[in-house]
Amino acid sequence: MQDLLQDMVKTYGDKIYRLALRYTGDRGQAEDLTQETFLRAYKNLNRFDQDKDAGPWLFKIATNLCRNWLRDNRETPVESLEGFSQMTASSPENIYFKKESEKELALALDSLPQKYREVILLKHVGEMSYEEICKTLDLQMSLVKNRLYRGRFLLRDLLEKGNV
Amino acid sequence: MIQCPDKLTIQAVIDGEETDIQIIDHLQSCPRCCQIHSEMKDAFTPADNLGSTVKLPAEFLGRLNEKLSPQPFPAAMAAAVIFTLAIFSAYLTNPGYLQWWLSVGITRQISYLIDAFIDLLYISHIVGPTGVIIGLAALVALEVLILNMLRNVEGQINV
Ligand SMILES: [Zn+2]
Repeated sequence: MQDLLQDMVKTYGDKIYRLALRYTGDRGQAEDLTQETFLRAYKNLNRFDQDKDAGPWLFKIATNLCRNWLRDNRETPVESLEGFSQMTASSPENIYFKKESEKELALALDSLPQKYREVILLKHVGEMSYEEICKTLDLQMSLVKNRLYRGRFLLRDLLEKGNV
Repeated sequence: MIQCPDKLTIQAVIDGEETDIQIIDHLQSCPRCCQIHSEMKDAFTPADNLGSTVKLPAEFLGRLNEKLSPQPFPAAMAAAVIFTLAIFSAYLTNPGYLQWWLSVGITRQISYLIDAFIDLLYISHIVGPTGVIIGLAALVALEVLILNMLRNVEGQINV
């Protein structure tokens, strides 16, 4: 059982961690949520069909935990955002602009209605296919495509207008 | 040339979900669709920027395994439970007694035990191995006698 879980961590651990980091903006909290995701998965491993892909199942657990986290922590800690400021640029100006744009992006994401945010994060952070997003969120394919389309434009508009 | 695809199909091409070669060719040859495709790609850039290369801390798996391994009931927790029960029982016996129990009772009871143990050691050194055996035999005999008497008394009561 534990070997199966370890394989899941190796395959999906980083992606789930990044997803949680996008929700919380804090490495410690993100790690806690990731750990809780795998602990819950382990407890319910006997209910999981091992012939199926574990991705949607794990991301469903993770998304639910992130939703609960958001419900309990309404203030989004966009100030920290430590995980996303891994700079390739060396100059202080570049680091500053990168941090600022990252902060704006996080604020825009936070302003996005939950139904769009969830789909976008699963696509761009979880690197999931449309089919996997449908399974994760129990949504119809047409709804996933629409939410992805509208959500991406909305995110762009929020950033352009600075309406965050 | 095929009909112009809808926006969701163009989105699917960008996402790599639509691989129909006719649609892809159309997007490259139709000026209108080409422009929509290009605008859409630009509009999706902020969402693309949400991705990152952050990795879980190296110790994550170790910490997870630690959580998964069965934890022995902590001895400190057991001691705390026993202590709480003892205090609670002392409190129920007599509220005024609690303070005495906390300040004197614990240390006094422990010192009684230690004293008794030291006394036994001291006596066993004086009387030697033979004396200890005789003493134990006497204790056993006394116990048997008492039990016998109790049985008799019990028997008398039951009659
Ligand atoms: Zn066209």
